Amino acid sequence: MIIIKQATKSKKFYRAVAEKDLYPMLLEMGNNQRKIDAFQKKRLLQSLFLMAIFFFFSTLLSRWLYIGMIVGAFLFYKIQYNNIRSKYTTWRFQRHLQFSQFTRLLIPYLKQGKGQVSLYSIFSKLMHRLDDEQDRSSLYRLMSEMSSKPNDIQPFIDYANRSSGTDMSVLFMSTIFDFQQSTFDTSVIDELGRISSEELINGIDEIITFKLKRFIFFPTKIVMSSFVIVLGFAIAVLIANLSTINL
Amino acid sequence: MKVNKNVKKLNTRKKRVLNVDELNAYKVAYGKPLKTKDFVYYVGMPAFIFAGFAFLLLYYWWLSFIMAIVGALYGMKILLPKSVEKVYLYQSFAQRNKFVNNITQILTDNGKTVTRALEIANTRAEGEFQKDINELQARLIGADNTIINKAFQSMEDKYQDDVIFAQFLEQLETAMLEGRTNIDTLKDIKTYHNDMKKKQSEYQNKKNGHLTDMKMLGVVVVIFILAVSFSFGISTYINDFARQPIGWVTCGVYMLLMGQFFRKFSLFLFDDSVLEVSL
Repeated sequence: MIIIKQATKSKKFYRAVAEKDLYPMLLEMGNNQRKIDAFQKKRLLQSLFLMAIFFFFSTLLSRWLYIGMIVGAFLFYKIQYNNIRSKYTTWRFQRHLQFSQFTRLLIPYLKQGKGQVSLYSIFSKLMHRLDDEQDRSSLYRLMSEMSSKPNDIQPFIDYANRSSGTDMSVLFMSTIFDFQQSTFDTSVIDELGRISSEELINGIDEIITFKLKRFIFFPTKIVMSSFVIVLGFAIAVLIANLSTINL
Repeated sequence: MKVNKNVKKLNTRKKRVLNVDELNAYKVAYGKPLKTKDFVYYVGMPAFIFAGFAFLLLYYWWLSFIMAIVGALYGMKILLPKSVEKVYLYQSFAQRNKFVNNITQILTDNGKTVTRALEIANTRAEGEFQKDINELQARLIGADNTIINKAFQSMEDKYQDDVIFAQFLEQLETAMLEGRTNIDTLKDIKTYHNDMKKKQSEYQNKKNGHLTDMKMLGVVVVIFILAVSFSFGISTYINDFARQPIGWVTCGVYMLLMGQFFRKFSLFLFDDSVLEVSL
């Protein structure tokens, strides 16, 4: 009994020191609570370990390193969070791209069917053409919810939020719902095509921004790596001078 | 359908090495065979950069020689194919854009049919794309609905990466099947295609800006290395650093880092697609 209580206490502690959006982000990316707790624990321990190393050196070398100890451990802790954040942004963006791919795949099928084929069978055809495992399971969930609640729009909206979360995606999915519910009018599909094209044009901007962002860090990286040479050269000169002194 | 397969193979994400003849075939698709200039730029340049850089760091002739070979191979196997692909894709896109604009313009006149519009657009097209239109036209002569559908479908398949163009073809097909032109939709799609072209060239310009920055930075790095090597006299640098194990390790690490940056940078630079991201 006591052991369990302790375990939950430590978990509560991990969760308390975590950033507010850390758990939701990691959960959304498909991790479970236990994994995140483990990650959080590892992150804390690593920071503490770094602190200990700094502590050791500061007692040996200089007291100034005590400041380095605090700042270093804190920075290390924060860097990991930022890392997760940037991963999350990329992941979100990728999901969004996947959704627009989904829309582009869907429209030709809808057009071919001309309203005669059920949405369910179109989705099951689409299932084979999606590359991402997560997309497939998400679509599968939509299909099963669709058949259990045939007249409910909620599964469609949920799917949109799950896969992309933009207003455009919600609009798109609700239009599909309307199409399935009422009309066999193909102008609805044309409308969907328009939405998807607009989405595509917006997507191009995002992709370009994303691709250009990758260039930004090159100068910094190159300048930073010059220090490798400086450091190596300094050590070499030092060694050479020391050996001449000894001789 | 054979052509279709070749285009699939051009996909750079799959690793594939093309030989010079195949490369030439792609380049000739829009009328420009490989020239000596291309070889000098994409094979000679990396060889020279790699060798020069290695020499500046360690002053070993044989190492520079090896690095020159590595650079030349890298240029031959990766940079040259990518540059050819880039030109090919660019020209193919430009042709499609011209086609979309021409057809829309011609169909604004209600008296013109899709077949007639294709004929006019054909005279203005060039290279591989013109052949595709020829093929499409040939298949459309006296065709019934299923054959019309198939003809357009195969063209859509070939250019499926250009989603907007595929939509345009779909509209053309509808216009042909139903005998009336939905000019507003065509105009919409034309606008999207033009937007895409504009965005692509903006992206290209920005990338070129980064390339210029990078070249300047390269000069700065060379000056920096020279400054380091002459700081205690060049003989100190060579004897105490470049001929010692510490120098080998340091320069090895540094060259690996720089090589990685070079690879990544050229990879990003040749990534022209504004429709997809591979992570």
